[in-house]
Amino acid sequence: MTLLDGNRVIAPTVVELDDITFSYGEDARPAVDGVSMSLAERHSLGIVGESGSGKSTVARIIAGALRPQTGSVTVLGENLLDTGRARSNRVQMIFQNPYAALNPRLTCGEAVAEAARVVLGQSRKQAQATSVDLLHEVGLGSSQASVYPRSLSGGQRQRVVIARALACEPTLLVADEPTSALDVSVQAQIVNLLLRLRVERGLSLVMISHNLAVIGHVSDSVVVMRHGAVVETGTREKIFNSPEADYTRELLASTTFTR
Amino acid sequence: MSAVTHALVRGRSAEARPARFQTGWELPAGITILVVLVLTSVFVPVISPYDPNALSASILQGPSAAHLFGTDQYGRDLLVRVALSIRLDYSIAIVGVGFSLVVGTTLGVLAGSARRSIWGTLLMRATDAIISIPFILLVLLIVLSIGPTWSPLGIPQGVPALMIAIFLTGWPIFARISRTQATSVMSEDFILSAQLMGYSKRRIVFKHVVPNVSSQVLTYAMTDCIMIIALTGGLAFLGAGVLPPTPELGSIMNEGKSIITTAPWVTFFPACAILLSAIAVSLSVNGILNRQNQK
Amino acid sequence: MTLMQTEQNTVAHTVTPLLEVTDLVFGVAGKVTVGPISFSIGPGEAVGVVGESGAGKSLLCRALTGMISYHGGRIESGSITYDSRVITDGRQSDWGSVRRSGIGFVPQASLSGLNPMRKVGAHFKEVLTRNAEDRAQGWHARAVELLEQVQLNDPKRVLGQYGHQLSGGMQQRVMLALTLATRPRLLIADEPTTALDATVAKEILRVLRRLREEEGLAVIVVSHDLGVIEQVCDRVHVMYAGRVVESGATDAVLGRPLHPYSAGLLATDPSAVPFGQALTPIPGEPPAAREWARSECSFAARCPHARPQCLATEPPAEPSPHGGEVACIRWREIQGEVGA
Repeated sequence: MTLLDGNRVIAPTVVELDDITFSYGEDARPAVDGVSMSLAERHSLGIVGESGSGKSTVARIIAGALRPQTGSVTVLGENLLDTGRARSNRVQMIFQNPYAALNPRLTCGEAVAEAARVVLGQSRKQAQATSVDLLHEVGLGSSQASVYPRSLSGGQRQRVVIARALACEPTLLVADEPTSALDVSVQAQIVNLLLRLRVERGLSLVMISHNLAVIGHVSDSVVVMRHGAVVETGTREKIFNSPEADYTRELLASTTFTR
Repeated sequence: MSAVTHALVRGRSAEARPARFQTGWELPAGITILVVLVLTSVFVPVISPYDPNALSASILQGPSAAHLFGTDQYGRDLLVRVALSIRLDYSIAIVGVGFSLVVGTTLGVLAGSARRSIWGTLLMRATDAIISIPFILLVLLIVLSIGPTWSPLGIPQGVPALMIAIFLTGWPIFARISRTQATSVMSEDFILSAQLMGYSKRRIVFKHVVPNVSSQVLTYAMTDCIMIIALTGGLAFLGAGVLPPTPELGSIMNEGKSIITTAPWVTFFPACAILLSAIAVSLSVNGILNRQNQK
Repeated sequence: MTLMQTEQNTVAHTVTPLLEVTDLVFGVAGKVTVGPISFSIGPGEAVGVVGESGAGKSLLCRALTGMISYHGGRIESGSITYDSRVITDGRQSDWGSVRRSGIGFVPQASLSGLNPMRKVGAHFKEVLTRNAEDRAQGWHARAVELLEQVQLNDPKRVLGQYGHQLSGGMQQRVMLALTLATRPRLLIADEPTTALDATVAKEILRVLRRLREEEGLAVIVVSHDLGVIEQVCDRVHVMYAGRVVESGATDAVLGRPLHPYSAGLLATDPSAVPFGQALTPIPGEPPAAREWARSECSFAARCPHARPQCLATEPPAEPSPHGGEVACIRWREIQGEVGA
């Protein structure tokens, strides 16, 4: 089911991180230190860890927003260290705070249409139609296209962010804590939306979360991180049913399962 | 729990009206005063039968039907002179601040959104240098070095030098405000997202950074205008800046100061014009800020 | 140290309740009205209040600590009785003595509770020099004792530090210890673990459990997280749009929820649904306070079981088999449907 155990590659990889190191300043402690991981096409990878684990840094490295000092990063067959910042807009990010991820001066429809126009080269009219379609696809009506992000709720804003990412026709989505700022009853809507899009559009998904339970519902394979390093990597079943690292066990025990 | 409690709760919520969008009175009031002042300055000189610089025998007359604001010691109609002064002072402020705004904001946004921080650092040191010199002193220096009598294109003497001085001293503030704001906007996730979409640098700056910088810059520009109006008046009052006989609020007040006990209207009306302008601008800015906060 | 969940639930109402809240209605005039809410809590008991953001939880904390007036609100009706003394009956309130020594409140943002210009020790000194008993012991010794009580390592060093030098978990412990310094008999904790890492959160919950079991402290925990409530509380109140829609024994409510909203919360919570099984989201989003319906069921718009009669009137709270109340006119039918 996954290529993480052993060297058996079943599906082509979309993400391959090899021994990457990243620090935010020259003297700073590395935020990410010797991290390797890979993700097969159409699979979903969950990165779980507590604050300071370096998981968000890894997300930004995969998205091409940060460039590691050492190691190699291959995303969608492109070596990001050779090409500098990712030039492929086939990788898109979903953010923790959807309000900060939307330009307050653009209506939701404009934000999505802009992406369709610039990335897909559509005409103004086409882009507008695309934007309505995409907003519909993520569960928003055309009335929401003409409003500014401030008048939407958190969940609706996150849907707009997702629709805008879809306008680039991405093959890989990197979601950095996409549900952490949302209410419990809204969280599942976004989780289910991401799962549905993954199937319908054949997306590969990297999901970052501090919440092991969310990761458990979304990911085929899981990477547990702590203090900038990988603690344990495995399939979801392995991580949840027979974790090897003490830290993984501790994390599992701390996740407040209600049963 | 009792049915009475329920009735209470229901009754209370029925009374509770949905939170109304409060528009506030400040912005309309401020705009109204400004419109009145501008209309006065535009139309009074056109309609009025009096020449602003023509001397007449009817000197130091109090406000009357013939001379609404009275006359000065040369028998000139004060209403016309005040109206022309407002026109001049507003023009100086708008042109001077306008240039500062365009140049300062452009530099600030470019420096704030540049990937290399060296441009920002250079710009900030340049603005530091200018801001560190006392403002009035710098304006006087510039006006004097350009030459206060220089009047190209028939612009009244002193005005071009003043405008240039206002621009040279004004842009650094706009550069600083817009750079700070642009730097903070650049760190927002929507900019990262725009970069991931492969948007051009130009698009990111003009569509995503500039609109989010503009409101702060514009509100500052409005308050700056009032400072400039006060400055122009102040300089003229001291005998610098706009030179007589061109009517100017400050110089009219200067002429009136020695006769303030016998003919208070000569100083009163120009002072009112400055005061009303200041009140109108600060009301408008407050109103705009309140509106933004509500959103 | 670890006590079984089942032991917690055997705590019975044998003593007179420490705090009794009856039909309490409170709010901010023209904006929010919360309640009516009724519950009682005895020494060593723990009551949880669960709800999403904007359900009225934080306002409830303010009402129970007599601080609602600082937020522009007031208690409209109902009564609060503490230790057999009426604190408020909707008309008159007397909070002074209770706030000083009876009820301790740990607010949500623990860092903002510590003055950044003063060391942790200074905060303790301020509280501990007011009480003769504490003065006799010496404030420093007492502060160390309190910090040990909340299982903070190296309390002496922490007393010499500033709030921002501490990690989130340590700040939360310091705030907890500071609250305990007034020797409260009831502790109200607003989102005690939100913004903390899971492993740290677990420690805080363990401290809360220990305090109620060993010190006999009564604890009210307010949280959006069902898991937090489950770990500390024996009874739970589920709030939605300013009302308690269901209350009862925690195990029973979480095991077999009667109100569609409680059931929906459980079906939508990733930590409550087994992996591989789809989450069932509650459609829509919680209403803002100004949209709280008072002439119909406020959950009807999102409820999969809603019928026209749900819009006719606000459902009254009926006694439920879980030892609490449920505010749904169809709860029996729904149980039948789900069972069948």
